Amino acid sequence: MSTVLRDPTSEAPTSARKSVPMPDDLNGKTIALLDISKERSDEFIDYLESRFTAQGMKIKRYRKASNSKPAAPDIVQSIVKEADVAVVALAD
Amino acid sequence: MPKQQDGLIAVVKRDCPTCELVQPVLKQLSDAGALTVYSQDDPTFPDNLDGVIDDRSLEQSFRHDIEFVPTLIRVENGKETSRTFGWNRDEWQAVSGINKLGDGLPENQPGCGSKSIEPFIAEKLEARYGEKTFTSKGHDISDWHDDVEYAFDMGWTDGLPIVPPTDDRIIRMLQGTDRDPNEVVGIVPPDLIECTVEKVAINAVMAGCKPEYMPVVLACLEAALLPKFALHGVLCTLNFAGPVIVVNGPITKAIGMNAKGNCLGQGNRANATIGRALQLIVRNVGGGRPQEIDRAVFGNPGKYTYCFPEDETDEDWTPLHVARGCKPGSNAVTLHHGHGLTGIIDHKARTADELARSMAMQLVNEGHPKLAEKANVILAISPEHYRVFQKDGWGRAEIEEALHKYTTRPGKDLIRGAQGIGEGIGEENADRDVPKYWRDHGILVVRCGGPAGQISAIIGGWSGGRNREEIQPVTLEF
Repeated sequence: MSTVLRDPTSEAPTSARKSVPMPDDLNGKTIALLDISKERSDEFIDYLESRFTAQGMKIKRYRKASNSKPAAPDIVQSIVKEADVAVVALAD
Repeated sequence: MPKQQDGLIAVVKRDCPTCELVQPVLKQLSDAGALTVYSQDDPTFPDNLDGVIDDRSLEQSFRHDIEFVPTLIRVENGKETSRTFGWNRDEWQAVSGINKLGDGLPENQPGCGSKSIEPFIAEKLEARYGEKTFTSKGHDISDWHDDVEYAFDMGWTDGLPIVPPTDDRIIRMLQGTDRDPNEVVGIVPPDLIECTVEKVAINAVMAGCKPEYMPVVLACLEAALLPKFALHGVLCTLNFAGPVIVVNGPITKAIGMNAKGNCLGQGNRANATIGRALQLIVRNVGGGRPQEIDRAVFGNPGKYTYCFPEDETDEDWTPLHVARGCKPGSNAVTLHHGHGLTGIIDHKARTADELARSMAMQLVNEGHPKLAEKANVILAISPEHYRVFQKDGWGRAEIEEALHKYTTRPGKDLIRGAQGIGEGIGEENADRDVPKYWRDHGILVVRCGGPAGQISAIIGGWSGGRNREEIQPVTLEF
């Protein structure tokens, strides 16, 4: 005789998704800088922008409305469409 | 029900005075023609009959939908055409078609409840012989395997053992709600999974809930999924917090919640398991697990469970849910992003104003003394402290007004670098008086606790509360 236990989980298939491979270099690439809106995130992203720009990189800035919620889908889609790599950063 | 043999069917049990009474009637029916007798508890009963079928498994009682014993059923052309239960001479004669039954017996005697509908037995029979309607996958555990350890191995638990979610337990849990098991309650983060009533019931079983807790558990999940509660955020945070649940309304008494002594501690099943059910749903359905999406540095013990009712026994007190817009007398849950407990010990305050100022001295320390407009808190006022307020005619409005007044401080003392401490609020606040908490929902005042002790408690809050428009405690009437 056996016992049956019902699955309490989502039962969603677990498949590993691979990240997009990192480019070999950043020449000619557009870098998305996503400010997650934590304390002084803007200062940190300003610093990153100045360092990238000094090296001739093309930058696009984005900002989440709140660090406590996921990024809105339209921000994610904009980054996907407009940039080649993304830096998501915070401060505190 | 497969085609049945024509004739009469009787279902009895020895542990039934009326079944004992009708033994001679059963003998009469047996002598007169086809009679099948099923015995629920003793195959040697009735004493005077051969060929009694052992139904101690209660399968036939379940399949024939027996609610009382004795039950007499007539079958014609393979189908049931009539039935009666208990003993009533006229009805037994009508069903059987045989007259002069039970000479010397009273005209009428009520029967007993069928063994097949006794609590816990009915659900086991449904699980064993009923139509399988669960959509959740079944994990077959052999008898050689430990079902509690299996749940640990599968990662289903919060670190404590769970109640194994067997079909009979889930069937019983689902009796606690009228909602369809396949109804989607909401989308649970972080994996954004549709959570059905069935999944809620499974996790509620595991938490140790009773079926009558289901309305509260469902309300807690629905409240947690409201956009303003930002469940994803409070799950992912480095911070200590998790959902803290305050339950209001008559349901708290109906299901035996504890708003009195040790209400924030262990010992009460409803308090303990309702909060746990929500956490298990977030873990198991939503996929929120420590050191994965849950990045809490410490967490807090309340992430096992943190749920308690407000003490609404004082008619002059405005309960939390009513203060937050619910109808008086309604049931509601309020969810706070909270953690831990900080005590306020004041045995000396004898006026309402003094006690409010005293409480404020501790309230301003939450998170960090120099931080403000960051987080919300629950302030749980004990009966003895409440009496100090009551003596001066203070109710909720007066208490809240005073607490906000006395937790407002000059910004110059709080800005970064002030008092030699780097932490603090922005320099732009130097010239204003800064409230520690948002006026509308920053301090959720509730009454609860044991009768003696001039102490109260602060349940701290998550710094996500600084985004006051987007992230707030939520209250859901149900």
